[in-house]
Amino acid sequence: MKNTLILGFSLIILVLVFSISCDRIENPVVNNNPSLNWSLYPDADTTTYPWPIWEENTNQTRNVLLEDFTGHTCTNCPAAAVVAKNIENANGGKVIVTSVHASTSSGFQVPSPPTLPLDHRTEAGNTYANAMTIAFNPSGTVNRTITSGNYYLFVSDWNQKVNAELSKTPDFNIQVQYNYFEETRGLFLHTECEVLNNVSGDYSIISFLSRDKVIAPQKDVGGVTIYDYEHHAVLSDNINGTWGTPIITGGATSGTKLYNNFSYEMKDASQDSTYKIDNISIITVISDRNNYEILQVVKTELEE
Amino acid sequence: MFLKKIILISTLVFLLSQVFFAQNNEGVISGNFATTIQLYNEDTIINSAYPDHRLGANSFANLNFNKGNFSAGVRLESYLNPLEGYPQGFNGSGLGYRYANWNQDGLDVTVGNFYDQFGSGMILRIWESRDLGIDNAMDGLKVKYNPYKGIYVKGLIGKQRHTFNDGLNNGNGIVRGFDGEININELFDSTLLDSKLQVTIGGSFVSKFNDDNKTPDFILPKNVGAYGGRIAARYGKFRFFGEYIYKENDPYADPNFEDFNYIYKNGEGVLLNLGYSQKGFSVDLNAKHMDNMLWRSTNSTVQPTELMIGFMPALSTQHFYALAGTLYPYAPNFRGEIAFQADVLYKIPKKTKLGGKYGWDIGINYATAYAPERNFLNDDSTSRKSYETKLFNLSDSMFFQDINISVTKKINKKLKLKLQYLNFVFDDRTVEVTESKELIFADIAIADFTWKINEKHTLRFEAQNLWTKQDQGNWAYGLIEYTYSPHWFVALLDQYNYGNSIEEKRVHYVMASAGYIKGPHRFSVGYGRQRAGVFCVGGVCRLVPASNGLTFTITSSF
Repeated sequence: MKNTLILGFSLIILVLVFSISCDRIENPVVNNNPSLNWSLYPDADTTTYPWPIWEENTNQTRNVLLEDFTGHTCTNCPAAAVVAKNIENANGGKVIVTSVHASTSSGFQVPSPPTLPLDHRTEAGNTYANAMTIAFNPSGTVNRTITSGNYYLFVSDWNQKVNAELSKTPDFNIQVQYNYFEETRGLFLHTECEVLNNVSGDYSIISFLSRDKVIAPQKDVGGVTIYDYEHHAVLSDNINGTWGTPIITGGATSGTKLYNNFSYEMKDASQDSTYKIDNISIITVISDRNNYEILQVVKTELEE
Repeated sequence: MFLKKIILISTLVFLLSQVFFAQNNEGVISGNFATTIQLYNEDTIINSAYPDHRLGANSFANLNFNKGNFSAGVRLESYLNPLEGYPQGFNGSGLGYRYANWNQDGLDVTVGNFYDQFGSGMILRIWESRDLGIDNAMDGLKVKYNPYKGIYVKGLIGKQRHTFNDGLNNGNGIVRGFDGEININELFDSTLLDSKLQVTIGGSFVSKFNDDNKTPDFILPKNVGAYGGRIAARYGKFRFFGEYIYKENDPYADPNFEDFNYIYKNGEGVLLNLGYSQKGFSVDLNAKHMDNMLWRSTNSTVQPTELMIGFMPALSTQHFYALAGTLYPYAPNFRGEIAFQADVLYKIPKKTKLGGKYGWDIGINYATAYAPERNFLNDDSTSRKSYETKLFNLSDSMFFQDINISVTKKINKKLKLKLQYLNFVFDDRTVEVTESKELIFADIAIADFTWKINEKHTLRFEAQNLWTKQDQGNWAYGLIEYTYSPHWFVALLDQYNYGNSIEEKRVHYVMASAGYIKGPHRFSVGYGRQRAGVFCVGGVCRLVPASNGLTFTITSSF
């Protein structure tokens, strides 16, 4: 009798206990960034979004952005592009090249149909050229630093300047993670900026989209048109605006980590195959808002 | 309104008593009463509390009726207005507690308000301290049952008292709990009842349901559970207690520390105690690891001591001498801490060469607490676990350390002396009980001398000094107390902040007090300055502001 009583009592307790479930929340963050375009996320329930988990960033290099200001009617530009590519290849990912079809006059960039019908210019590229007074092509900037009062560098000076920049100690590190949803062409970009040394000043993060290869006509030496010219790393659009998103105003202390999230709708690759996702890279920089200097840069190659 | 309630309750208790007295005369009514009234003067030198209402009065009375296996009772409370420094949320007069209880054949049922504790209290401690202004009484149902020898189970469900505003106001959260305990020796009494090894094991499950917090930023769990087990053993002069509690994700707002703000990390707590005692000697060792164990029945932001389900025990000595007890008392860090304490008591035997005629009592105590080593995950936009820790893996960030030694010596039939030395390291950047918010190093020396002049007359002297280069600097304390037994006592004390770096703040806090005791009644009156300080019970503390004025208290029971 007593055993039955104990058993019965225990069962009642167990039923009571287990009927009170615990709510275990795996993804607790509710659309905490209203600036994101959640219509690009295929699931209506945004709590299922796979937010990134960040690991320690062990990078100790100050990477270099080499902006090759170019134009498709610029006959000396293909040779400059080769120099840029060689510098990039020689530095194992520490030097990131982007081809910016821009100059203050746009003399080499305007379309010239029927031979050169495409317009590779972007709003951001034009703005950068004007801000840094890029009056001729080919010319380049290296981390948007100023040399002898100018941002632009002749091709012959690129390598030396790149090496000088590579020797500097980094003040920032960047990590980038992303999710791409084919059905909505939605790209969600997540960045982590880590301040490595105490810094003063105002800084922004800028992410822009670069097409790795664009096969399109290009004038070469002697005015010859190369119809299947391979344009490398073409600046194609900015993810978060021309001058990006301010992340530091006034300064920040070493160890500070800053997180940003962006969403972007990719162009339809069925209309332009150069926008296939595996031909796209995202270049992310930290820039000094007062003098445009790039303090760190990383390149993220997208994959399907 | 209050008068009506008193009349109603008194009538109810009277009628109940009449019903039971009508059957026989075995029913008993008992009760107790206490009031503290404080009249405030303005004192700009010490920046004293000086409220518009000038007078604060905290009062309560318990009335209990008991007959056989039945008992019932009420507590009437009054805060008109609450004493300065008393927690917000106590206002007006009314009924603060009522219950009915009966037990028969091993079944014990309580309806209404009740207090209780599971294990050490980490998972559930429903308690009150009128001095601190803590009352998290449950309002609901509690059932205890002893189905078989050595087996004890209890279950409870209810809401917790939150505030008092002309009556009891419960929080919205519902607390549900179950606790079971098996006394192995009682269960197998035929073979183990008289065993030298006595073992009791237990387990608890507590959950809450709450939906107060409507933050749009996070999905909050509405049902949160905590569970754990414990073991208590005694073998001869040794005893051991160990408990482990695990708490599921239970995020709270912590806006000052983003690493702890709405984090979904599970909490855990471990409490270990090993003791040995024999005549004239005892040693007690404690260790604690608590991480993310804040445990309330609401997920909204409330006052620090409100709606607490679990209790975070402090592994530190609660000092009763004024400078040691109220300037730098340690309260556990609810975000997490690892703490250790060792306590040794030794009596040098009397009638020995060293001990003399009466012997010596020596006490040595060491307590310390550290922040756990945390490996932060940078997952604030994802799972928000925030960090990882390992049990008893402490960082080099020390919150607190207390080393103290006391010697008590009865010199002769009339004279008794107690000497104590304390050394504190107190990181107020995390404990946050002073205005200085710095690492404080303090030494305290205390001498307590009692002279029993004769059977009726006793004089007691207390001298204390605190040395520190931080915070408010050095303090001195002196007290003389005269007791005329069995009814009267008078005392005069002075606390002097002679080491304050600001000359105007080198203030004497003089307080005179007197009291009269007759049977169960005690009256006392005090007048003077009261220093701002921290008042703690079991590691739970409240700040008491500086004040100047008259304090009158009455306590009584019947």
